[in-house]
Amino acid sequence: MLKVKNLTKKYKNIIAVDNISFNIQKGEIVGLLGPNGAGKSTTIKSIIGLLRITNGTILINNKPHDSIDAKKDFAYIPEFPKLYSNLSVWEHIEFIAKAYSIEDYNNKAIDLLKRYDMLDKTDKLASELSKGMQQKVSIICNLIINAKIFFFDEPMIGLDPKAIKETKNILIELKKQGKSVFISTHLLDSIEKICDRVLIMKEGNIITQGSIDDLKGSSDITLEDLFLKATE
Amino acid sequence: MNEIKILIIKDVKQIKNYFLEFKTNKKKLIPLIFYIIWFALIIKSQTENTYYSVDHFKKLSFLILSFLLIISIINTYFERNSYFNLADVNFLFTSPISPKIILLYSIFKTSWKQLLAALFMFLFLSVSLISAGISFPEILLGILAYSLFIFAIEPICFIISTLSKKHNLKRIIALLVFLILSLVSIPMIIEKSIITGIESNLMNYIPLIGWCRAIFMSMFNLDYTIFIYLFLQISFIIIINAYIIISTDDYYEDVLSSTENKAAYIEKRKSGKNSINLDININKHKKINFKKTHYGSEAFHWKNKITSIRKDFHYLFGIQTLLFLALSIIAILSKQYKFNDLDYSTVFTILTIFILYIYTLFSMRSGGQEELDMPFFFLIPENNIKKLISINKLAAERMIINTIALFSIPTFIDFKNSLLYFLLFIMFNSVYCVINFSNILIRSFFRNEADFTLMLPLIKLIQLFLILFPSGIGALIGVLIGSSIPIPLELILFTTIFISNILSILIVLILSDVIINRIEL
Repeated sequence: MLKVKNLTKKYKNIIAVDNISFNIQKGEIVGLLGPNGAGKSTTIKSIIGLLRITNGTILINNKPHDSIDAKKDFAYIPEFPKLYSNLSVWEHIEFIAKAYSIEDYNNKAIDLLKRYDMLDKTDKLASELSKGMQQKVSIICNLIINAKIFFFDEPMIGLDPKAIKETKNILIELKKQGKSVFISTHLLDSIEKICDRVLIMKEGNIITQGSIDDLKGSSDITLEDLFLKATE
Repeated sequence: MNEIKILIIKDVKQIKNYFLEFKTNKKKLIPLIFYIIWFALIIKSQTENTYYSVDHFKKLSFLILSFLLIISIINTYFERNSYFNLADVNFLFTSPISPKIILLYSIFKTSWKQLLAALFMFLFLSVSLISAGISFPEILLGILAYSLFIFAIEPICFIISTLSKKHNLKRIIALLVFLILSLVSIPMIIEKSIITGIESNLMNYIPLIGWCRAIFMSMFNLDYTIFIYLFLQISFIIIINAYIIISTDDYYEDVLSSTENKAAYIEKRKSGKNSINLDININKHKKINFKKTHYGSEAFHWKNKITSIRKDFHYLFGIQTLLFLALSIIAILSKQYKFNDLDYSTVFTILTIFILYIYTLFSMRSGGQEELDMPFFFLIPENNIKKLISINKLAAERMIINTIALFSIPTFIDFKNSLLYFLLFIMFNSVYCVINFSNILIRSFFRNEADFTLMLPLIKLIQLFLILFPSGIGALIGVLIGSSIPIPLELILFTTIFISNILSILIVLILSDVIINRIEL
């Protein structure tokens, strides 16, 4: 579903991402971990075409990552949700549905609004919502897209415990539907049980990758221990 | 076409919601009513007085066009111009809508916004234009000239922005600005006068601003050459837009930082924090050490010193000091080269009032006042009076240095008025302190951020009143006392204004506990 080969991203003289390669298969949930400044957000932004890559190739569903065709196949939930302040919650959903030419989105949207306790706020303008609520709207808008791969950049920040639980359930449901998920997060406990694989980044490089069980081996350690050991 | 339709629907809904919000949020009406009253008063003053002649508009048009061009290029250079907002980055840039369509639509939308602002400006000036003898069709011609200017300037800024990111052409852009300024100065040099130079037809040969000026000028004197300039300007717009359509596909990264900067700037402006920013960040990465003598409330002063030295030459002086010195030199030269008939003391009195006016307009909640938005200001276990003094101390110290730079030269050149310059100096600094302390008062009246943002125009008015009222009372007392004392009136005025300002600051400090307890984060 996603093929990243020799991806390098430089900002002037700073190498933010240094020649990394990895693949994500259909129906796989892959976690992207790393300390602050490791290059996680740059990697995701480069994959989805917000940043120009310095070197390498990226294919989404075998299409060049910055092509319009590829954009139909992915959804991106950003770290900091920024909405149109003068559009209501429902109008955001309508706008995304139009932009992605989705016709049968009503039931799906209502179901998501219920799950995130936002059904009574559909007429509220984005400017009237708290940051956590804005994050929920951003997630809902992207989940109505019929994407094949979902990129989540720190999606749990600002969410209440129920919303975090719902998001984790949704990730598992997406996997069951054969969708792929690439998620960057610092909440290691939250993703330990749902990720098929993790990539651990440090200073622009992937220093460890593999399934959590393989990385743990026979030892009885948590993902947090594993992460701290790898990034020492 | 479908993609454009989606973008149009989104924006129409946003505009509709903006107006519908007035129904639910009545506070939003306050600034609107304020602007309507202000607008009506200005229109009324224009109908009663015909200050402006055709000559005024001829000179002004070129100056405004040049100013707009230079400001646009400078904003682009410093990455403050963007056609997008952060929601566009999150939703549009990742969507399957063509990047070219997103870009062209956004440029077009921005141009129309600018044009609407221009129409408003023309409406504003219409009474004066008509009273100066210009007919309605001629005003339309002026609007056309301005529209053509706007529709060219926005694509230029975009090209500058993307090229400078891809190829690091910042020096070339700086050269371009220098070239424009040089071209503008040629007619002035030939005519040996700034005013005659601005009025000269030679200006019409300068691309963009000159061509638009020529079209604008035909508002006053219609002739066939307008068609040549119309042809040149329209061709320019077509070529530059064609270049964008052909060459730009991959621009998302180029506009990311400017979009973030613009969002931060708008956020600041909405909450009244748009202070005059002349930061040069020359010591950004320098390790700075100050003696460890700043404890308790003095920690704020220490922090301000550190941030100040990071942004400027020294924590006590910098770019602003140079600017004050430059203003002083310009004022002296303008007198020596007989650009005005005023004496030095009058020139510097006007200059003082002008600078203070600018500070009042732009320095709302600037500098130390940002501390009031930080929880640690309220949590640090110290006396509130000490904390208030500490957050404002460095700004006051820097202003003293700046005003020394402003008044030193006239004091030496015009020594007989040295007492007046000294009084101007202390009055300037006392008003500056009142501006800063009135920010604290204002913040306690409009207790939370949301109220402050909504009612900013009203707040500015109240702040002006707060600054002027004690000074006005002081001035009145001064005049009453002065009539019976053989001392020049201005000396009495400045002294009483200074005393009343000091009293105002003392009152704010004495009431600081009450004031600070009213502020909500």
